[in-house]
Amino acid sequence: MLRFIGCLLLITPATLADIYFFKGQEISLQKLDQDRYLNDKGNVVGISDSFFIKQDKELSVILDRYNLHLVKTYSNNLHKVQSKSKTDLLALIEKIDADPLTQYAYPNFIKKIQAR
Amino acid sequence: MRLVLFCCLLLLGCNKKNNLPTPEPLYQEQWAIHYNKLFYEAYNIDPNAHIHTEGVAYTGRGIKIAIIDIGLDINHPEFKDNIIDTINSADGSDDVSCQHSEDCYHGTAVTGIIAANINGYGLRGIAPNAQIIFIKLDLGGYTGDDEILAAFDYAEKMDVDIISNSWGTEHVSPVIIEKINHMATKGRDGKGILLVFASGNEGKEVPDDESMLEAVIGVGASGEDNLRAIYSNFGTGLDIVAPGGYKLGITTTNQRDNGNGAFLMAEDSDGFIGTSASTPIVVAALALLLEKNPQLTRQQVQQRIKDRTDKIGNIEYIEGHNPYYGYGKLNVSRLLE
Repeated sequence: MLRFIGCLLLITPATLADIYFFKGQEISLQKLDQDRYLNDKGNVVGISDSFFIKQDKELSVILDRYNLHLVKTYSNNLHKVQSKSKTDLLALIEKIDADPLTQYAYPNFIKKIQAR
Repeated sequence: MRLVLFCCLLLLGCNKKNNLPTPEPLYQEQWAIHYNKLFYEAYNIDPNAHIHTEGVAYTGRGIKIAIIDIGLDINHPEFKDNIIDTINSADGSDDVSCQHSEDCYHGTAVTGIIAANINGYGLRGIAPNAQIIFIKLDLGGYTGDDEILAAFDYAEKMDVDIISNSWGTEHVSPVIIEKINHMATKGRDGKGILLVFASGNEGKEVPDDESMLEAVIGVGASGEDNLRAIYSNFGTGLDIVAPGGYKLGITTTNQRDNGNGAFLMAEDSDGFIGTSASTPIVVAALALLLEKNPQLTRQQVQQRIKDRTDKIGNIEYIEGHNPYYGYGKLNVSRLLE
Protein backbone atom coordinates (compact mmCIF):
# COMPACT_ATOMS: atom_id res chain seq x y z
CA MET A 1 0.00 0.00 0.00
CA LEU A 2 2.84 2.36 0.82
CA ARG A 3 4.29 1.65 -2.59
CA PHE A 4 0.93 2.40 -4.14
CA ILE A 5 0.62 5.73 -2.40
CA GLY A 6 4.26 6.52 -3.04
CA CYS A 7 3.84 6.05 -6.76
CA LEU A 8 0.92 8.42 -7.04
CA LEU A 9 1.20 11.94 -8.26
CA LEU A 10 0.43 14.77 -5.90
CA ILE A 11 -2.19 16.28 -8.13
CA THR A 12 -2.98 19.96 -7.99
CA PRO A 13 -6.57 21.19 -7.64
CA ALA A 14 -6.60 22.07 -11.32
CA THR A 15 -6.60 18.36 -12.18
CA LEU A 16 -9.82 17.53 -10.42
CA ALA A 17 -11.73 17.32 -13.70
CA ASP A 18 -14.03 14.32 -14.11
CA ILE A 19 -13.44 14.01 -17.82
CA TYR A 20 -10.30 13.02 -19.66
CA PHE A 21 -9.85 12.81 -23.44
CA PHE A 22 -7.98 10.00 -25.20
CA LYS A 23 -7.74 10.14 -29.00
CA GLY A 24 -10.55 12.65 -28.90
CA GLN A 25 -12.78 10.24 -27.02
CA GLU A 26 -14.28 11.31 -23.73
CA ILE A 27 -13.27 9.12 -20.79
CA SER A 28 -14.80 9.55 -17.36
CA LEU A 29 -12.30 9.66 -14.53
CA GLN A 30 -13.96 10.68 -11.31
CA LYS A 31 -11.68 11.73 -8.48
CA LEU A 32 -12.44 9.86 -5.26
CA ASP A 33 -9.74 11.33 -3.07
CA GLN A 34 -6.19 12.56 -3.45
CA ASP A 35 -4.86 9.21 -4.61
CA ARG A 36 -7.71 7.42 -6.31
CA TYR A 37 -10.02 7.78 -9.29
CA LEU A 38 -13.09 5.85 -10.41
CA ASN A 39 -12.98 5.14 -14.13
CA ASP A 40 -15.91 4.67 -16.49
CA LYS A 41 -15.84 0.88 -15.95
CA GLY A 42 -16.24 1.27 -12.20
CA ASN A 43 -12.61 0.36 -11.42
CA VAL A 44 -10.68 2.27 -8.81
CA VAL A 45 -7.33 3.34 -10.26
CA GLY A 46 -4.39 5.49 -9.39
CA ILE A 47 -2.29 7.55 -11.80
CA SER A 48 1.49 7.41 -11.69
CA ASP A 49 3.64 10.49 -12.16
CA SER A 50 4.96 8.86 -15.33
CA PHE A 51 2.91 8.37 -18.49
CA PHE A 52 3.19 6.83 -21.96
CA ILE A 53 3.80 8.33 -25.38
CA LYS A 54 3.52 6.31 -28.56
CA GLN A 55 5.73 7.76 -31.23
CA ASP A 56 7.82 6.25 -34.00
CA LYS A 57 10.16 9.17 -34.68
CA GLU A 58 11.15 12.67 -33.56
CA LEU A 59 10.63 11.79 -29.93
CA SER A 60 13.19 14.42 -28.92
CA VAL A 61 10.98 17.13 -30.38
CA ILE A 62 8.12 16.10 -28.14
CA LEU A 63 10.41 15.73 -25.13
CA ASP A 64 11.69 19.29 -25.64
CA ARG A 65 8.34 20.76 -26.53
CA TYR A 66 6.69 19.52 -23.34
CA ASN A 67 9.72 19.52 -21.04
CA LEU A 68 9.71 15.76 -20.56
CA HIS A 69 12.28 13.26 -19.33
CA LEU A 70 12.49 9.88 -21.11
CA VAL A 71 12.39 7.05 -18.55
CA LYS A 72 12.16 3.93 -20.70
CA THR A 73 11.44 2.83 -24.25
CA TYR A 74 9.51 -0.36 -24.88
CA SER A 75 9.88 -2.51 -27.97
CA ASN A 76 6.86 -1.23 -29.87
CA ASN A 77 7.95 2.44 -29.90
CA LEU A 78 6.12 3.12 -26.71
CA HIS A 79 7.93 5.44 -24.33
CA LYS A 80 7.52 6.03 -20.61
CA VAL A 81 8.15 9.68 -19.78
CA GLN A 82 7.94 12.07 -16.86
CA SER A 83 7.37 15.79 -16.76
CA LYS A 84 10.39 17.74 -15.53
CA SER A 85 8.13 20.24 -13.84
CA LYS A 86 5.13 20.04 -11.54
CA THR A 87 2.12 20.19 -13.75
CA ASP A 88 -1.49 19.30 -14.27
CA LEU A 89 -0.67 15.81 -15.49
CA LEU A 90 -3.97 14.79 -17.10
CA ALA A 91 -4.16 18.11 -18.92
CA LEU A 92 -0.59 17.63 -20.16
CA ILE A 93 -1.31 14.09 -21.35
CA GLU A 94 -4.42 15.31 -23.13
CA LYS A 95 -2.40 18.05 -24.83
CA ILE A 96 0.35 15.68 -25.98
CA ASP A 97 -2.25 13.17 -27.13
CA ALA A 98 -3.72 15.84 -29.37
CA ASP A 99 -0.31 16.81 -30.79
CA PRO A 100 -0.11 15.70 -34.45
CA LEU A 101 3.47 14.49 -33.92
CA THR A 102 2.41 11.78 -31.45
CA GLN A 103 0.31 8.71 -32.09
CA TYR A 104 -1.07 8.97 -28.59
CA ALA A 105 -0.31 9.74 -24.98
CA TYR A 106 -1.86 7.80 -22.11
CA PRO A 107 -1.66 7.74 -18.30
CA ASN A 108 0.26 5.03 -16.47
CA PHE A 109 -2.64 3.66 -14.48
CA ILE A 110 -2.00 1.89 -11.22
CA LYS A 111 -4.64 -0.76 -10.81
CA LYS A 112 -5.56 -3.89 -8.96
CA ILE A 113 -3.90 -7.05 -10.19
CA GLN A 114 -4.72 -10.52 -8.94
CA ALA A 115 -3.24 -13.98 -9.01
CA ARG A 116 -5.94 -16.39 -10.07
CA MET B 1 -8.68 -43.59 4.06
CA ARG B 2 -6.76 -40.90 2.19
CA LEU B 3 -3.49 -41.92 3.79
CA VAL B 4 -4.04 -45.57 2.88
CA LEU B 5 -4.95 -44.64 -0.69
CA PHE B 6 -1.95 -42.35 -0.95
CA CYS B 7 0.41 -45.11 0.25
CA CYS B 8 -1.12 -47.57 -2.23
CA LEU B 9 -0.66 -45.09 -5.05
CA LEU B 10 2.88 -44.35 -3.96
CA LEU B 11 3.76 -48.03 -4.00
CA LEU B 12 2.09 -48.53 -7.35
CA GLY B 13 3.85 -45.51 -8.76
CA CYS B 14 7.25 -46.82 -7.68
CA ASN B 15 6.71 -50.31 -9.00
CA LYS B 16 7.93 -50.49 -12.56
CA LYS B 17 6.76 -54.10 -12.84
CA ASN B 18 3.21 -52.77 -13.14
CA ASN B 19 4.10 -51.24 -16.52
CA LEU B 20 2.99 -47.83 -15.39
CA PRO B 21 3.72 -45.11 -17.92
CA THR B 22 6.16 -43.24 -15.70
CA PRO B 23 8.15 -43.89 -12.52
CA GLU B 24 7.07 -40.58 -10.98
CA PRO B 25 5.74 -41.51 -7.52
CA LEU B 26 2.93 -38.95 -7.54
CA TYR B 27 1.87 -39.49 -11.15
CA GLN B 28 -1.21 -41.41 -10.01
CA GLU B 29 -2.40 -38.26 -8.26
CA GLN B 30 -2.23 -36.20 -11.44
CA TRP B 31 -5.87 -36.74 -12.35
CA ALA B 32 -5.94 -33.68 -14.60
CA ILE B 33 -3.53 -35.11 -17.14
CA HIS B 34 -4.41 -38.81 -17.29
CA TYR B 35 -6.91 -41.45 -16.18
CA ASN B 36 -6.01 -43.68 -13.25
CA LYS B 37 -8.80 -46.09 -12.40
CA LEU B 38 -8.03 -46.39 -8.70
CA PHE B 39 -7.72 -42.67 -8.12
CA TYR B 40 -10.68 -41.78 -10.34
CA GLU B 41 -12.99 -44.25 -8.62
CA ALA B 42 -11.81 -43.27 -5.15
CA TYR B 43 -12.76 -39.65 -5.78
CA ASN B 44 -15.69 -40.22 -8.13
CA ILE B 45 -14.03 -38.33 -10.99
CA ASP B 46 -15.66 -38.33 -14.42
CA PRO B 47 -13.57 -40.67 -16.63
CA ASN B 48 -13.04 -37.88 -19.18
CA ALA B 49 -12.10 -35.13 -16.73
CA HIS B 50 -8.45 -35.28 -17.79
CA ILE B 51 -6.79 -33.86 -20.90
CA HIS B 52 -5.80 -37.11 -22.63
CA THR B 53 -2.01 -37.05 -22.60
CA GLU B 54 -1.55 -40.82 -22.76
CA GLY B 55 0.78 -41.86 -25.54
CA VAL B 56 1.93 -38.33 -26.30
CA ALA B 57 5.67 -38.43 -26.99
CA TYR B 58 6.38 -34.69 -27.06
CA THR B 59 7.95 -33.00 -24.03
CA GLY B 60 8.21 -29.34 -24.98
CA ARG B 61 11.84 -29.65 -26.03
CA GLY B 62 13.13 -26.47 -27.68
CA ILE B 63 10.16 -24.38 -26.59
CA LYS B 64 10.71 -21.26 -24.48
CA ILE B 65 7.97 -20.37 -22.04
CA ALA B 66 7.84 -17.15 -20.03
CA ILE B 67 5.91 -17.51 -16.79
CA ILE B 68 4.84 -14.16 -15.37
CA ASP B 69 3.92 -14.68 -11.74
CA ILE B 70 4.48 -13.62 -8.16
CA GLY B 71 7.61 -15.59 -7.29
CA LEU B 72 9.43 -18.88 -7.64
CA ASP B 73 11.33 -21.47 -5.64
CA ILE B 74 14.06 -21.51 -8.29
CA ASN B 75 15.94 -24.41 -6.72
CA HIS B 76 12.98 -26.75 -6.64
CA PRO B 77 14.39 -30.13 -7.75
CA GLU B 78 11.46 -30.71 -10.08
CA PHE B 79 12.37 -27.92 -12.49
CA LYS B 80 15.56 -26.10 -11.46
CA ASP B 81 17.35 -27.25 -14.62
CA ASN B 82 14.57 -25.86 -16.83
CA ILE B 83 14.99 -22.29 -15.59
CA ILE B 84 17.16 -20.47 -18.12
CA ASP B 85 16.60 -16.94 -16.85
CA THR B 86 14.77 -14.94 -14.21
CA ILE B 87 13.95 -11.26 -13.85
CA ASN B 88 12.08 -9.11 -11.41
CA SER B 89 9.99 -6.65 -13.43
CA ALA B 90 9.91 -4.13 -10.59
CA ASP B 91 13.65 -3.56 -10.28
CA GLY B 92 15.27 -5.44 -13.17
CA SER B 93 17.20 -7.75 -10.84
CA ASP B 94 17.25 -11.54 -11.20
CA ASP B 95 15.67 -12.02 -7.75
CA VAL B 96 12.29 -13.72 -8.23
CA SER B 97 11.92 -15.04 -4.70
CA CYS B 98 8.74 -14.27 -2.84
CA GLN B 99 8.04 -13.52 0.80
CA HIS B 100 5.35 -11.96 2.93
CA SER B 101 2.43 -12.95 0.73
CA GLU B 102 -0.12 -15.73 1.00
CA ASP B 103 0.25 -16.19 -2.76
CA CYS B 104 4.00 -16.90 -2.72
CA TYR B 105 3.44 -20.56 -3.63
CA HIS B 106 1.60 -19.51 -6.80
CA GLY B 107 4.46 -19.22 -9.31
CA THR B 108 6.04 -22.45 -8.10
CA ALA B 109 2.71 -24.26 -8.51
CA VAL B 110 2.28 -22.92 -12.04
CA THR B 111 5.84 -23.85 -13.02
CA GLY B 112 5.53 -27.42 -11.75
CA ILE B 113 2.43 -28.13 -13.82
CA ILE B 114 4.36 -27.19 -16.94
CA ALA B 115 7.89 -28.36 -16.31
CA ALA B 116 8.19 -30.88 -13.45
CA ASN B 117 10.91 -33.25 -14.63
CA ILE B 118 10.67 -36.97 -15.20
CA ASN B 119 13.26 -37.67 -12.53
CA GLY B 120 11.64 -40.12 -10.14
CA TYR B 121 11.19 -37.38 -7.51
CA GLY B 122 7.49 -36.62 -7.63
CA LEU B 123 5.47 -35.36 -10.56
CA ARG B 124 5.49 -35.38 -14.28
CA GLY B 125 5.07 -31.97 -15.90
CA ILE B 126 3.18 -31.83 -19.17
CA ALA B 127 6.15 -30.26 -20.96
CA PRO B 128 9.09 -31.42 -18.80
CA ASN B 129 11.74 -30.36 -21.31
CA ALA B 130 10.45 -26.85 -21.94
CA GLN B 131 12.77 -23.97 -21.10
CA ILE B 132 11.40 -21.56 -18.52
CA ILE B 133 12.01 -17.85 -18.18
CA PHE B 134 10.44 -16.73 -14.93
CA ILE B 135 9.39 -13.08 -14.71
CA LYS B 136 8.33 -11.83 -11.30
CA LEU B 137 5.37 -9.46 -11.22
CA ASP B 138 3.81 -8.41 -7.95
CA LEU B 139 0.30 -9.84 -7.84
CA GLY B 140 -2.35 -9.38 -5.21
CA GLY B 141 -1.93 -5.64 -4.83
CA TYR B 142 -1.70 -2.63 -7.12
CA THR B 143 0.61 -2.49 -10.11
CA GLY B 144 1.31 0.14 -12.75
CA ASP B 145 0.89 -0.56 -16.44
CA ASP B 146 4.61 0.17 -16.73
CA GLU B 147 5.49 -2.92 -14.67
CA ILE B 148 3.22 -5.10 -16.77
CA LEU B 149 4.79 -3.65 -19.92
CA ALA B 150 8.27 -4.29 -18.53
CA ALA B 151 7.38 -7.93 -17.90
CA PHE B 152 6.05 -8.35 -21.44
CA ASP B 153 9.01 -6.49 -22.90
CA TYR B 154 11.45 -8.83 -21.21
CA ALA B 155 9.59 -11.90 -22.43
CA GLU B 156 9.64 -10.52 -25.95
CA LYS B 157 13.36 -9.75 -25.79
CA MET B 158 14.02 -13.30 -24.62
CA ASP B 159 12.35 -14.50 -27.79
CA VAL B 160 9.84 -16.71 -26.02
CA ASP B 161 7.26 -18.84 -27.78
CA ILE B 162 4.54 -18.76 -25.13
CA ILE B 163 3.71 -16.52 -22.15
CA SER B 164 1.82 -18.03 -19.21
CA ASN B 165 -0.28 -15.52 -17.26
CA SER B 166 -2.20 -16.86 -14.28
CA TRP B 167 -3.30 -13.35 -13.34
CA GLY B 168 -5.40 -10.49 -14.63
CA THR B 169 -6.71 -6.99 -13.95
CA GLU B 170 -10.23 -6.80 -15.44
CA HIS B 171 -9.15 -3.38 -16.64
CA VAL B 172 -6.91 -3.48 -19.68
CA SER B 173 -5.41 -0.20 -20.85
CA PRO B 174 -4.94 0.59 -24.54
CA VAL B 175 -1.16 0.50 -24.01
CA ILE B 176 -1.38 -3.08 -22.77
CA ILE B 177 -3.74 -4.12 -25.57
CA GLU B 178 -1.35 -2.65 -28.11
CA LYS B 179 1.64 -4.42 -26.55
CA ILE B 180 -0.20 -7.74 -26.52
CA ASN B 181 -1.26 -7.31 -30.15
CA HIS B 182 2.31 -6.39 -31.07
CA MET B 183 3.75 -9.54 -29.45
CA ALA B 184 0.99 -11.73 -30.85
CA THR B 185 1.74 -10.63 -34.40
CA LYS B 186 5.42 -9.64 -34.54
CA GLY B 187 6.89 -12.02 -31.99
CA ARG B 188 8.32 -15.47 -32.77
CA ASP B 189 9.77 -14.16 -36.06
CA GLY B 190 6.39 -12.92 -37.21
CA LYS B 191 4.48 -16.06 -36.30
CA GLY B 192 3.22 -14.47 -33.10
CA ILE B 193 3.86 -15.26 -29.45
CA LEU B 194 1.08 -17.27 -27.79
CA LEU B 195 -0.22 -15.30 -24.81
CA VAL B 196 -2.32 -17.43 -22.48
CA PHE B 197 -4.34 -15.79 -19.69
CA ALA B 198 -6.48 -17.16 -16.85
CA SER B 199 -10.05 -15.81 -16.83
CA GLY B 200 -10.35 -15.68 -13.02
CA ASN B 201 -12.36 -17.35 -10.28
CA GLU B 202 -15.35 -15.21 -9.34
CA GLY B 203 -17.95 -16.94 -11.52
CA LYS B 204 -18.73 -13.72 -13.36
CA GLU B 205 -18.45 -12.21 -16.82
CA VAL B 206 -15.21 -10.29 -17.33
CA PRO B 207 -15.57 -8.30 -20.56
CA ASP B 208 -12.60 -6.01 -19.96
CA ASP B 209 -10.10 -8.61 -18.90
CA GLU B 210 -6.83 -9.59 -20.58
CA SER B 211 -8.19 -13.12 -21.02
CA MET B 212 -10.96 -11.87 -23.30
CA LEU B 213 -8.74 -10.17 -25.88
CA GLU B 214 -8.84 -11.50 -29.43
CA ALA B 215 -5.08 -12.02 -29.65
CA VAL B 216 -5.02 -13.87 -26.32
CA ILE B 217 -5.91 -17.48 -25.51
CA GLY B 218 -8.32 -17.08 -22.59
CA VAL B 219 -8.59 -20.07 -20.26
CA GLY B 220 -11.42 -21.12 -17.96
CA ALA B 221 -11.56 -24.06 -15.54
CA SER B 222 -13.27 -27.42 -15.61
CA GLY B 223 -13.81 -29.64 -12.58
CA GLU B 224 -13.68 -33.32 -11.67
CA ASP B 225 -17.18 -33.71 -13.16
CA ASN B 226 -15.82 -32.68 -16.57
CA LEU B 227 -18.04 -29.58 -16.56
CA ARG B 228 -17.16 -25.92 -16.20
CA ALA B 229 -16.15 -25.17 -12.62
CA ILE B 230 -18.79 -22.85 -11.21
CA TYR B 231 -16.18 -20.29 -10.11
CA SER B 232 -14.70 -19.97 -13.60
CA ASN B 233 -15.15 -16.48 -15.12
CA PHE B 234 -16.60 -16.29 -18.59
CA GLY B 235 -17.16 -14.05 -21.59
CA THR B 236 -17.35 -13.94 -25.35
CA GLY B 237 -13.55 -13.88 -25.56
CA LEU B 238 -13.02 -17.13 -23.66
CA ASP B 239 -11.22 -19.72 -25.80
CA ILE B 240 -10.84 -22.96 -23.89
CA VAL B 241 -11.32 -24.71 -20.56
CA ALA B 242 -8.92 -27.11 -18.85
CA PRO B 243 -8.94 -28.80 -15.46
CA GLY B 244 -8.69 -26.37 -12.57
CA GLY B 245 -10.34 -28.59 -10.00
CA TYR B 246 -13.22 -27.99 -7.65
CA LYS B 247 -13.03 -30.25 -4.61
CA LEU B 248 -9.74 -31.70 -5.76
CA GLY B 249 -6.85 -29.46 -6.63
CA ILE B 250 -4.27 -29.87 -9.36
CA THR B 251 -1.29 -31.83 -8.03
CA THR B 252 1.83 -29.72 -8.45
CA THR B 253 4.96 -28.33 -6.84
CA ASN B 254 4.98 -26.15 -3.74
CA GLN B 255 7.30 -23.44 -2.49
CA ARG B 256 9.41 -25.26 0.06
CA ASP B 257 10.25 -22.58 2.59
CA ASN B 258 8.44 -21.99 5.90
CA GLY B 259 8.18 -25.73 6.45
CA ASN B 260 6.10 -26.37 3.33
CA GLY B 261 6.45 -29.73 1.63
CA ALA B 262 7.68 -29.92 -1.95
CA PHE B 263 4.23 -30.69 -3.38
CA LEU B 264 0.64 -29.59 -3.31
CA MET B 265 -1.50 -32.71 -3.42
CA ALA B 266 -4.88 -33.01 -5.10
CA GLU B 267 -6.62 -33.69 -1.79
CA ASP B 268 -4.94 -30.88 0.18
CA SER B 269 -7.44 -28.53 1.77
CA ASP B 270 -5.31 -25.61 0.54
CA GLY B 271 -4.54 -27.22 -2.82
CA PHE B 272 -4.02 -25.46 -6.14
CA ILE B 273 -7.51 -24.83 -7.53
CA GLY B 274 -8.65 -22.29 -10.11
CA THR B 275 -8.08 -20.91 -13.57
CA SER B 276 -4.50 -20.24 -12.45
CA ALA B 277 -4.02 -24.01 -12.55
CA SER B 278 -5.90 -24.46 -15.84
CA THR B 279 -3.72 -21.91 -17.60
CA PRO B 280 -0.32 -23.67 -17.32
CA ILE B 281 -2.03 -26.89 -18.40
CA VAL B 282 -3.01 -25.17 -21.65
CA VAL B 283 0.40 -23.47 -21.92
CA ALA B 284 2.20 -26.81 -21.63
CA ALA B 285 -0.12 -28.43 -24.17
CA LEU B 286 0.66 -25.61 -26.60
CA ALA B 287 4.37 -26.18 -25.99
CA LEU B 288 3.91 -29.76 -27.17
CA LEU B 289 2.03 -28.50 -30.21
CA LEU B 290 4.78 -26.03 -31.11
CA GLU B 291 7.42 -28.70 -30.61
CA LYS B 292 5.59 -30.82 -33.15
CA ASN B 293 4.73 -27.93 -35.50
CA PRO B 294 7.13 -25.06 -34.84
CA GLN B 295 5.98 -23.10 -37.86
CA LEU B 296 2.39 -22.70 -36.69
CA THR B 297 1.34 -19.08 -36.42
CA ARG B 298 -0.61 -17.76 -33.47
CA GLN B 299 -3.74 -17.62 -35.64
CA GLN B 300 -3.24 -21.23 -36.75
CA VAL B 301 -2.90 -22.31 -33.14
CA GLN B 302 -6.12 -20.48 -32.28
CA GLN B 303 -7.85 -22.17 -35.21
CA ARG B 304 -6.64 -25.52 -33.97
CA ILE B 305 -8.12 -24.78 -30.55
CA LYS B 306 -11.43 -24.00 -32.29
CA ASP B 307 -11.37 -27.23 -34.27
CA ARG B 308 -9.83 -29.75 -31.88
CA THR B 309 -11.36 -29.32 -28.45
CA ASP B 310 -14.02 -31.42 -26.74
CA LYS B 311 -17.46 -29.79 -26.71
CA ILE B 312 -18.30 -30.70 -23.13
CA GLY B 313 -21.18 -29.40 -21.01
CA ASN B 314 -24.88 -28.81 -21.57
CA ILE B 315 -24.70 -25.32 -23.00
CA GLU B 316 -25.22 -24.98 -26.73
CA TYR B 317 -22.15 -24.08 -28.78
CA ILE B 318 -23.07 -21.53 -31.44
CA GLU B 319 -20.64 -21.71 -34.34
CA GLY B 320 -18.50 -23.87 -32.10
CA HIS B 321 -18.34 -21.44 -29.17
CA ASN B 322 -20.11 -20.43 -26.01
CA PRO B 323 -18.98 -17.93 -23.38
CA TYR B 324 -18.74 -20.49 -20.55
CA TYR B 325 -16.62 -23.13 -22.29
CA GLY B 326 -15.07 -21.12 -25.11
CA TYR B 327 -14.47 -23.56 -27.95
CA GLY B 328 -14.46 -26.48 -25.52
CA LYS B 329 -12.15 -28.44 -23.27
CA LEU B 330 -8.49 -29.16 -23.94
CA ASN B 331 -7.78 -32.59 -25.41
CA VAL B 332 -4.04 -32.92 -25.98
CA SER B 333 -4.23 -35.99 -28.19
CA ARG B 334 -6.69 -34.26 -30.52
CA LEU B 335 -4.74 -31.00 -30.44
CA LEU B 336 -1.63 -32.84 -31.65
CA GLU B 337 -3.35 -34.95 -34.33
